[in-house]
Amino acid sequence: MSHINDKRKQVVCDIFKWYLNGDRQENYIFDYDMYKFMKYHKLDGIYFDYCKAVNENQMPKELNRHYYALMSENENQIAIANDIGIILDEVRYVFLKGLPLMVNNYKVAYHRYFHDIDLLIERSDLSSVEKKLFDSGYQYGWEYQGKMYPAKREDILFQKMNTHETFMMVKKTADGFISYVDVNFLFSWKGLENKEYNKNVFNDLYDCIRTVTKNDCNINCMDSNYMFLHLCCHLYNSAHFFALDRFYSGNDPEELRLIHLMDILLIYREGVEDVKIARLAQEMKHTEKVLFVLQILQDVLDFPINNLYELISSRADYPINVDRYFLSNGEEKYWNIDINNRIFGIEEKKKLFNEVF
Amino acid sequence: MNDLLILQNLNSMLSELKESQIECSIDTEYDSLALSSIDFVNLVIMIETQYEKEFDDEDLVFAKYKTVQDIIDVIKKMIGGR
Repeated sequence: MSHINDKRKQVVCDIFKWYLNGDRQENYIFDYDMYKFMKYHKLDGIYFDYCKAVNENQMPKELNRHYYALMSENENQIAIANDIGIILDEVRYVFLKGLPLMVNNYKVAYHRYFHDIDLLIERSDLSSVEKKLFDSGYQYGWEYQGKMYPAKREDILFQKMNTHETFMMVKKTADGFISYVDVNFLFSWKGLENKEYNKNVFNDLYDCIRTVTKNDCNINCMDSNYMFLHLCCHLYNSAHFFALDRFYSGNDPEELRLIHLMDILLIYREGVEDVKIARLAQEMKHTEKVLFVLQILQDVLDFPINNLYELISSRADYPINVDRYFLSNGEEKYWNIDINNRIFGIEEKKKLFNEVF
Repeated sequence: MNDLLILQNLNSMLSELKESQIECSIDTEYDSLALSSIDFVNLVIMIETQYEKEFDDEDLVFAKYKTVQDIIDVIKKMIGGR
């Protein structure tokens, strides 16, 4: 790795240790290039507070304003999620990824910001959920510069038939906030051409739902074992199948973001049962996905989770290769740069992508 | 609308989709049509446009379709109100 990538890795490892274990890095000076790198990985809110903890006076004032605004946006998301829970009424659902992580696991709301509220529901409830969300003002589509763009039927169907979730839904709330919802109906998908209807979805999770309360709002989410497993699957899928996304344009896929590793470590620290995760991963055929994440945590961030690694690797059929991905035609490919450069050498990665795609 | 008429329409849509003459029977296996995921989406769009109705969510699952008869049954259910 280059000197700059080594330096980034050192700062990232220090920040992970600070956030997870309370270790302090004294005399760190805020660095704008490092800030941009952290923003790429969505760790900028944590980096901001890390620098602020060293010396509050070194922080640019505009960043203070930015993170206060972000905190307010995240509070909006909590209120919207509470409303969605009311709208869904008796439909069984959990919130996934950003929202429950922000509420449960991050110290400050702007440490874990997100664009969409992700829901997981039973596949058979999809029509009913769709109707309830339409009735409350959501539509399939997106917002750009104040204008709503409805999705084409073709794109809605493609997403629904070939992936684990619906096309994104968007709504402008009464106070002008743009709310996005992704409705997931599979716990984890296996690629575009897989025709298997994965029934291993919501019924199996039903006993693992917990409700957390924040700002008088109720948030349904999975317990830490299932959340850990789901986050590992999500990271693995985004690292392997980015080219299968119909809207993938060949730009940097940002497929391995450090915030997702932080998510996983925070959930692990919250308390998971290694034996149960290993069993669930095997039953749901996700051992490869968990092993992929554990390998990266160990090799890249020096955060080994030895007990779980041993349990999972003893169940895996073959050793994991962290460099693999798939083209849109299903062809298996391998990265020309190593995992550390993929994460810390984002300029090299972008250059490589311009050559490859 | 009877099965034969729907089959004729379906053959015409599949021929357009695959850019070659397709002559399926009701027993033709879905897999033998060699439809990619994108082909299937396009076929659904063509069927929806032809019959001016939308597929139910439960019918948007690949695994449901074993033969052409299964597609015909879904179309009949979809236009059942006519």
